[in-house]
Amino acid sequence: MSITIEQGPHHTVIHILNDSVDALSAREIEQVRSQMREVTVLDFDKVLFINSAGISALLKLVIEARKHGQQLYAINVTAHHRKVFEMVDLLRYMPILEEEEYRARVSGAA
Amino acid sequence: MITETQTASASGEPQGSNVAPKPLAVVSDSLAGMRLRLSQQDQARVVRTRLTSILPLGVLLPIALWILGFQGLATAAFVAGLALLLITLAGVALTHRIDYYSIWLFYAISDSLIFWLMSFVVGSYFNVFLFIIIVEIARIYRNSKLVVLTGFLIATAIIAQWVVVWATAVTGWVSFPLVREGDSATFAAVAYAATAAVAGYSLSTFIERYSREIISYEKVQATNAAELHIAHDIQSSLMAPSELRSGSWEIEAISIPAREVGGDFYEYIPYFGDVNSIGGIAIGDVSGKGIPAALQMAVVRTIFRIEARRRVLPAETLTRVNQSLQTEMPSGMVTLLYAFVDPKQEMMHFANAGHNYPIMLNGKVSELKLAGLPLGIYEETEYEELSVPVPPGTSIIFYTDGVVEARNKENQIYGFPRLLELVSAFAGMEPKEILHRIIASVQGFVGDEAQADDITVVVMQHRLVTGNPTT
Repeated sequence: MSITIEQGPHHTVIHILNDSVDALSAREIEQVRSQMREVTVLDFDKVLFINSAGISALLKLVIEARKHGQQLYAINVTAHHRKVFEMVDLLRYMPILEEEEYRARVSGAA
Repeated sequence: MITETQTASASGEPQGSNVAPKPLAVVSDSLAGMRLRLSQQDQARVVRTRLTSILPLGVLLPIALWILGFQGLATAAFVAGLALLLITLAGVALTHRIDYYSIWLFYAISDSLIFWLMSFVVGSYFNVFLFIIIVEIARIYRNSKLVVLTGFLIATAIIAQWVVVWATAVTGWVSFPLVREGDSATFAAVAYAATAAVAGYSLSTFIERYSREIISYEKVQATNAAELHIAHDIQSSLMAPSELRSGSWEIEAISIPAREVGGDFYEYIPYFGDVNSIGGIAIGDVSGKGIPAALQMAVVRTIFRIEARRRVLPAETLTRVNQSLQTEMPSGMVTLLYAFVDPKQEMMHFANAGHNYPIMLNGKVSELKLAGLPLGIYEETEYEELSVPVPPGTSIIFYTDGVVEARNKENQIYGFPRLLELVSAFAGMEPKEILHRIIASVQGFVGDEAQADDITVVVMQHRLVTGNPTT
């Protein structure tokens, strides 16, 4: 398993442990979608590379989550991937939170 | 003006569309006459397998026999193990000189000879570890019939030995040319030698079959490589021309797949039916690499060509292509940027389905920022459109993510900032020069590392010339 899940009362934090996100690791995230709370945060702290299959899977995941009323956020995204997320319109469905916003959002949700 | 297709292979060697593919029959024929060598990987596997067999026979068994008091047997087993080890070393030395069918034959004959000699040296005790050897061989070569046959022969030999010795002793009239009273070991040795011969024959038969499988496998590999080469040539020939000029407008393009075939593409759509004009320019990247990406790319290009010729507006075109792709693309995605140039108005209208922002160079460097979901993600996506003036002296650079995500041996990526800084020094350069400098910069950054992703760059320039810009 390349992810760990941290559950709060109203939020879920998914820490991605791999240094790269591809279709396989994105599928792992997809498989735990049933465990996602209303607010879910994806932690990209360890992620150095995201290939196009990974982007594709992430996009499908966040769009599907949005349809089910779940809010997804990303934290610890590198400058390069921030730009990639922006270009593929991923930020529209999964905004990036800065550290303070993240703390506020998580404590607020709690 | 169409000149040539200049798609390059992963090795960086440009390959034009006029390169004739090598027929498969020629490849197969040339293979038939080849003396194929064991690869280093195969050789390592053979040596490893033999050593796992020699270790129990030549070291563990002698130690056990020695402890049990059978010093003679222990010495014999050790000598046999040593001989098999020497044969293995000789095999390694011979691997580079003879083809691998001969090397397998060498092992089979040498091993059989060792077993045969051992049967004479050890005599009737040989059955103790002959059976172990045979079981070990059967384990290595996965031949259970060999174990059954050998067990049956050994049992028959032992029973026959008892019967003959008993009959000779009791009746005194039974005779056998090789059996003299008190010399039953000779008879047993012959029986065991026969067993060893059967084992050797079975082993060599298996080896022959195995070597044929390897040859067949390598032929399949070679055929696949030839087919990929043909696929590369076909894809190259289908790619839009690498140069296009129309009045004061000029395009230069290059696509370098990471493998023989790739998922990157670029395409031109003529301006209102004028085949020599610059109208629509598209650059796309199908997720993934190799054959699956190439097949999906062919589908995307076909749909795009149909839709782009039906309508002018880029946003509308991408919306329609995305809808059509939903049923054609079960997985993955495509990033596609479609720009439509109006040479009379000196404007470029474009829409973006998740592709890298184009870079505009006109005295300063700027990115034409317009985001959008890639194609194949969400059926109801409506794409936006942006229009920018493209006055003379402007260059616009379109590129795929293989440029900015190229990695060097320190696992660092080339990145957007490095590209923008590079482009800022390109003011006044010809499109071909810009193209080559970008590729050279990326290749210089990557160094000896293998190309990880397809790289495509398209440079469009509105040149500073006097006269009618649209002719």
